[in-house]
Amino acid sequence: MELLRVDSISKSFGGVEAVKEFSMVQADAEITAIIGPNGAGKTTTFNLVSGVQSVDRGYVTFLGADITRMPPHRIQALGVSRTFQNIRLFDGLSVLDNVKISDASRLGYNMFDELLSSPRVRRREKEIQERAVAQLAFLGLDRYAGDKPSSLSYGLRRRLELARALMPEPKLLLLDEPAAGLNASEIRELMDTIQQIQLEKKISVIIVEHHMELVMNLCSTIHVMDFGRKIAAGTPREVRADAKVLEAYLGDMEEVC
Amino acid sequence: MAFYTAVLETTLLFSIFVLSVYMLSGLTGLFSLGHGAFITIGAYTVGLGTTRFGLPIWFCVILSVVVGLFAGLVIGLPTLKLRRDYFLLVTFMFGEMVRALLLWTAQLTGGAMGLAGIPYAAELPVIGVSTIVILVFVANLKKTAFGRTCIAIRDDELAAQAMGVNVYWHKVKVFLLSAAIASYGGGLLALNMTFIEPNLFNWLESAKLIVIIFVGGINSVTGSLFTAILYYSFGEVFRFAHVWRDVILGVLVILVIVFRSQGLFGAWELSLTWISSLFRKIRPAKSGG
Amino acid sequence: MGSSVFYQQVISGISLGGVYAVMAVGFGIVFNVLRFSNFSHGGVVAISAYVGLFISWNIFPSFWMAFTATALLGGVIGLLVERLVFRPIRVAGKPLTYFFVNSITVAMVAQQSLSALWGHEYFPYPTFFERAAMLVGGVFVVSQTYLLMLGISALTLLGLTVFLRITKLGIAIRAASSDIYTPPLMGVNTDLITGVTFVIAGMLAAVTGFFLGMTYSVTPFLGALMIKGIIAAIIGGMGSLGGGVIAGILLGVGESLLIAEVGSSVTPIIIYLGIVILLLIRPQGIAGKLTTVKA
Repeated sequence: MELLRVDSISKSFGGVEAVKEFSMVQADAEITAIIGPNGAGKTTTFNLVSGVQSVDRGYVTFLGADITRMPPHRIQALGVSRTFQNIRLFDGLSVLDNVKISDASRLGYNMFDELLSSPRVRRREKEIQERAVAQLAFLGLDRYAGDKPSSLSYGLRRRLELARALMPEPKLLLLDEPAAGLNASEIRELMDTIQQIQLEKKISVIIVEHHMELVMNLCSTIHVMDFGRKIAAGTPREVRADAKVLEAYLGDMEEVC
Repeated sequence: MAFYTAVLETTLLFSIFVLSVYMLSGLTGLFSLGHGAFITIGAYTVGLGTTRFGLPIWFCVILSVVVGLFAGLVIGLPTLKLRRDYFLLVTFMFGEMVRALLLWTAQLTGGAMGLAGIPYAAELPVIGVSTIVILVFVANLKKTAFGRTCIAIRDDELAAQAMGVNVYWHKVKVFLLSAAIASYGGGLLALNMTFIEPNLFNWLESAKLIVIIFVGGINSVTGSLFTAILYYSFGEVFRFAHVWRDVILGVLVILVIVFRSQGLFGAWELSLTWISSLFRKIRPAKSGG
Repeated sequence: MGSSVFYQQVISGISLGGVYAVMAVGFGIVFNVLRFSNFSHGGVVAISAYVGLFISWNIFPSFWMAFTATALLGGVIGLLVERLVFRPIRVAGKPLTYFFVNSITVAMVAQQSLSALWGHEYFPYPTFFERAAMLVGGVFVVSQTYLLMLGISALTLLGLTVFLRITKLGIAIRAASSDIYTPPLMGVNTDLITGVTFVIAGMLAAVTGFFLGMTYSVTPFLGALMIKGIIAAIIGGMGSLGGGVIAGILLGVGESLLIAEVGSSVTPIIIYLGIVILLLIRPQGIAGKLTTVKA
């Protein structure tokens, strides 16, 4: 079933087109990747899909609904969740509260309920607490629940971002360079986790990543970007053999493979 | 005795203001250099209502909250959508505008001469109870989903948005709550001082409310309150040192921010469990000695 | 309003607007490079006004000497503020919030120290020029001080523009406006860029302080006039120096005409309301672009 449809979106910053008529379709419970050299417009594409930046031209639809001009919190509420390339955690909140935050759109009660601490609030808070703890446990972070994110190692912080993104039980997960800065064994763990997310939680995943082993092993479809444009798309095998990809990207690929 | 009661009353009133700013600046990271304007609005609503229109005192206090909320909407709705700097600068201007308005409408408000003859109705019990209620409210807020969201917005607005937080609307709510508390406190201030003037709360006073929070620590209501009590009671007792007190505060702020930016109290909060653990520690020592 | 009165108001408005423009640029240049609202600028304005007062009464009776010395000392004060207050937190990589808190604290300390030391008295600057007014085109009378202020403000801003466009350091400062937090920019280090930025801001503050002192006499509250510079910076579009200059002059003229037409008590109210409406319609100001956060 079609989940996300990106229909030739464009975005420019001060005259420079960061994304040019980019299109893609993402189905339910599949893992795809967007790859390309630095500055190819991959992160911008994520920002456009998640509503963090506004689309200049083109359309984005999610589950048939037009989300092109929707604010990020509403897109998230529909079921699109994401992580950030440069880890963006809330340092003033505990690890557990970082995870709890991303359930905000489904809170279901208002400030006044909260002030009176009504039974509804207490029930709901208990439920959020349980699910947040479960998310932490899923990623092996449960024993850090009370710590501040800044006290965690880099690899654990990346995992915390993933836990936070999974908390709202999204239908689509956008992972922006999830393997950046991880060592080989951490990357293998991450690959297992992503596979579990797809198979057990039935969540569809789009990955922006430079780490070719991860991309080639996990993804059914790969979209290749260069200078804001999509230059190729296909299975890992097709992409590997594509002449345009080799031209744009060869150096980097040899480095990592 | 009467002198110390007066000092306590003033200190508690200013603690209310600091608590209102704590929600806004400490928890949510929004800075209003015109927060004094809400205090002034509250004070003048009560002052004018009681002296010029002969309205019942406590009706005027409620009215002051309503007027404060309305002003908060007018200022907050357009500016909270923009970058935080705009909010800061517009609130700064709002503060100056309220002052200019009061001076302009001198026939009604008394202008620079101030407004005298407000009934003395806010005595220590009223002020004390109000402070405690507001303190409990703000301290609890920190632990709720509402407070969590505030801190998330403070730490990373963009990430908060992407995590499903309606940042704009949440900011509006916090700002209105904070404005309501400040206006209420302003109303009490008028009923306590019985004389008010347009310069009651200029930008400097608003700025002080913010820096006090940073000395105490933005993650600690206890720290903010402690600093506020120390600063304002000191100022009332040693009036002659009034300006130097601000210089000392300023130097302290810079030292704290440079060397201990989490504030003197960090994230520490005074709580019942902490007090009881303290007693548990003392008791065996006593029985032993 | 008679036409000669009108022209007089316009000229004095442009001249005061020039001072606002210098203030807006001093505020804006720090905002551009470090991305925070630098309220300490008002503090430096007030301190320099006292410095200029002292120099012109006690050291150099000549306007030019006193003015130049004050401007240079303003640069020194700016640098001191940067080194003592902002540099430690920048090096430690603290969030922008702390820059802002330190900047209002500097403004507060400046105002309250000046109050504590010299009280709330008004201190006038010496009369530098015997002939206070002069005839322009044989039609209307203009204060020579106003013309001088206008001329110097224009020269100052022109000099700054040349510096920012031609010198390597100036170009680096302009480049830093887009992103100081990606360190080595064109081989010029960040320390130097921020240092020089604050020296420039300090000198602009001193020019402002000197002129405001000449216009209104000196009080510790002079720093609060900073609000005029901020208004100009907002109208111009935060971060657009050129926009700030145009807005400063518009503000000066507008204010001066409004005061003559409706009086000095309503004028600020009209201006503040105007700003709020402007932000509703066009938040990016007349020339600026909205600054956004990078994801």
